[in-house]
Order: sequence, then structure tokens, then C-alpha cells
Amino acid sequence: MVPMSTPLETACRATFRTLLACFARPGTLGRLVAPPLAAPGPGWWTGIAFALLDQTQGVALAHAGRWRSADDPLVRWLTLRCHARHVSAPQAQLALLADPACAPLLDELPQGSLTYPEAGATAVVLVGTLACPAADATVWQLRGPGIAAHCDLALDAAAGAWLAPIQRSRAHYPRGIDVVLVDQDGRCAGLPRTTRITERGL
Amino acid sequence: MHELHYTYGLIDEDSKREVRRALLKAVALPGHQVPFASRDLPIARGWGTGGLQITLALLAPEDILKVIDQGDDESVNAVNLRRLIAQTTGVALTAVTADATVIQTRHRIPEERLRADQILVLQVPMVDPLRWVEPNLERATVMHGEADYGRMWVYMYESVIRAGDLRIATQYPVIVADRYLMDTTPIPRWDVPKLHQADALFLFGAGREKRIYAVPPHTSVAPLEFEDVPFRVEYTPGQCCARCGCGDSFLTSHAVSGADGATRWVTTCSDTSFCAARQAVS
Repeated sequence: MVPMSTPLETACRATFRTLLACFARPGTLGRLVAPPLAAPGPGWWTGIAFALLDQTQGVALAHAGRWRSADDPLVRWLTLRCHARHVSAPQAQLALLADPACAPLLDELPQGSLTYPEAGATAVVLVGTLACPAADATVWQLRGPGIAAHCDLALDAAAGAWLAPIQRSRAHYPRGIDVVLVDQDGRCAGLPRTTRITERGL
Repeated sequence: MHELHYTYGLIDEDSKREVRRALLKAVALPGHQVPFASRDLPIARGWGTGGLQITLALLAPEDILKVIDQGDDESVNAVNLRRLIAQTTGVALTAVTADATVIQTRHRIPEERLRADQILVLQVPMVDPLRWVEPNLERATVMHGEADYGRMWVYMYESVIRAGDLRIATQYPVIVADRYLMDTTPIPRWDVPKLHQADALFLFGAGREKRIYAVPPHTSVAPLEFEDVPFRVEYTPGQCCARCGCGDSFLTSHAVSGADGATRWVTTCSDTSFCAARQAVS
């Protein structure tokens, strides 16, 4: 007899495998699954939170250009169920940044040290659309480990605000921040700190 | 009814979550050793617990698993790890490299080129190549942080001066993504080029030393070498497998007794499933 995973454990494992594939192949799109929970906010965010957070982890959430406070309903819901600690941005291991107005806040997240670069935060960034077909799409050209030569990632025009903060966050490799871009439909793309990004027009 | 006292994949969800976080950081920092807690398992540390924890944190019921030890699907370590993983996850098992989605291995990389949808998990006994020149872990960590690998180059140079060659048979040191010095685990030099610009993802787990590291696909993996003393793989011209006749695979020698009672050495492919497939078509 083999033990069965609970639906939540299954969703956490699927989320992790998606994130692992996206980090291993930056620019490749994955699709996140929502765990079977009635949760505030998009379901894929709950999946990432349950897959990565526990009592050892500090989390920070930003919305409309500001960090959410500890008594924010979404923060309270998350910390209660994942047992994660709500912390200030410089102490966060995981951060959720919900709109382009939050782009400057990326500079406040920890980048680790030369000896312990893994202490750099993972930032989950919500964008409008990944694989955007619009004529005014922002196209990022990606190079680095996990990419055979280069690949293109087309985002909605507003997502262009994230480029400069992401580039700044990896100027001192191996220190840096690892970014997961997620769109409204739960599609995601990994931008580990090794990925070099340049912008080009269509 | 028999009651199960363990969860899917044996280790608890908190432990899996910690391994998963370490894996994501390891992939984001190719070649860098990421610490993790390394839980106790029903096998002794040093017998593949690092690789086992990675595999258990990875496996989904739809995965197909292959476990090899020194290229052999049927050696003791492989059989026991496979049995433990199968009993606690129920995943399908295979000996055919092409059929597997996750391959856990000790000391070999399969002969067939791995595909993009495959993950290779390597068991690591000694995690830090700097240990040859700096046994103090804290100082070695600082050396990695500063990419201070001068003493390693001196070690390689002295090896050439004393032995006339780069006298390293296994655990050949490599530079990953032009940044981190990495131990390739005791894979033979034959397998080291397979890490360079590969299609598959390589994950390394050291359970005893509590470290995880990774080489993503399409990543530069350069063995340490000098312009006038290049890195070379093992190769003996004319030697081939006694079973399948392959002259382009990693070979191992073992003693067999003949009908006359005399013992002689026979050379065969180290990768048994690769060898069996070649024998089947010939």
C-alpha cells in the first residue's frame, strides 16, 4: 500500500515542479495550479505560498506601490495558514509585488551576500500578460544559463517598468534577487539572477 | 487494515518544502552549494541520502524513475533505493534511460544523451572541491564567495609537475557558468563533458554534508585544464565491451572464471541498460 498525497500537497508539488522548470529554463512559460482552498486573491499565489512558505520564512506583500501592513487581510490570511512571518522588505525571503507601481520596491529586498547568495529574496511579480500578442508589447530578450542561445519574452507594455529594477537587482552576481513573473491567467516565467535581460521592440 | 505511518514520499511536507526551496536557489546559482537540513532517513548517511531527499521532494505519481549505481541498475545501492522510493511513492520504475523522467544515479551519467524533459539526480559523497586545498569549511565558503580559486590552480599545477598529468581520476573539478568551482561527484572523467551545455537538468544532493547544488540545462561546465595540459577523458584505443562490442562507452573491468577454472579480466560497458539495448539490436 502506498500513501496518497492530499490535494493541497499535490498542488504544492505541481507548483514546485512548475517553478523548477521555469527557473531551469528562463523564458519558458509554465502554468501554476491553484490549490483547493477558498483564498483571497488569485489561486496561483496561494499555490506558491503553500509550496514555499512555512514558519522559517519571512514574507512581504506589496500593492499599489506600498508594502502591505501586518493587519492587512491578505497578510493575516497568509501568515495564519502558512505559518510564515510577516516581515519588513529587507528581511523577506519571499515577496509578492502586485502591480507595476511596486517596481521600485524591488530595490528594498535582500540580495544575499557573497558567501551566502542564496539569502537573496525570491520575488513573485504580477504582470498583465505573458506571451503578449499586442503590437505594443514589451519584448525582453533573455540570455544566460538554461537558455540555448537567447529567447524572447513578450509582456504587456506596463510590465516594462520592471526591467530596470530587475537589472539592478543582478548587477552584483552572485548577489541578487530571483524573479518569477506571473500573469492574470496563472502563466509564469522564471528569471533567476543569472538571466541577462535586454529590451527590444517588436 | 495495515496503517501507514509515513506520508507520500516518506519525508514530511516541511522537509520537502525546505529541499524544494534549496533546489530553486541552487538552480538560480549554478554550481553554488546551498545548505539544507538533511533529514534522517532509513538508510545511512553516505549511501545516497542527499540524492534520495531530492528525488522524494521531486517525484509526482506520474513520473517514471530509474535508479543506477555505477551505471548498473541491479547493484545493491540502486536496488535498495529503488525499493524504498517505490514503496513510499508508487511511481513507475524502469531500467530504460529513454523512458525515465527522473534518474537518480551514483557515480555515473547514462551513456545516452538526456532529453530536456529528464532530470538527473546525482548522489554526492564529497561536496567541495576546495577541500583538497582548504579543509576549513568557513574559509572555503569565503573562497567560493570571492571566486578565489588560485590555490586550486596551484594544486593542479603541482599535480602536473609531480605526475606529468592532471592526476585526478574522478570528482574532476569544473567551473560552472564561468563563476563557481564545482565537484562533479565521483563520475569518471568520461562523463564530465556530458554536463556541458546539456539539455537536461542536473541536481546534486549531499546528505551527509547537507548541501544541494545544480547545473541547469545549456550551462557552461568547463573542466580545469592548462593550455599545454588539456583535460582528457579515459580512453584506451582498441578496447571495447565484451558483451555488445561498443568501443565508445565507459568500460569497467571485472574478473570472471572460465570453464578451466582460470580467472581472466573482462571489459564491459559500465552502463548496463545501454549495453543490454545494444545487445538486443545486434
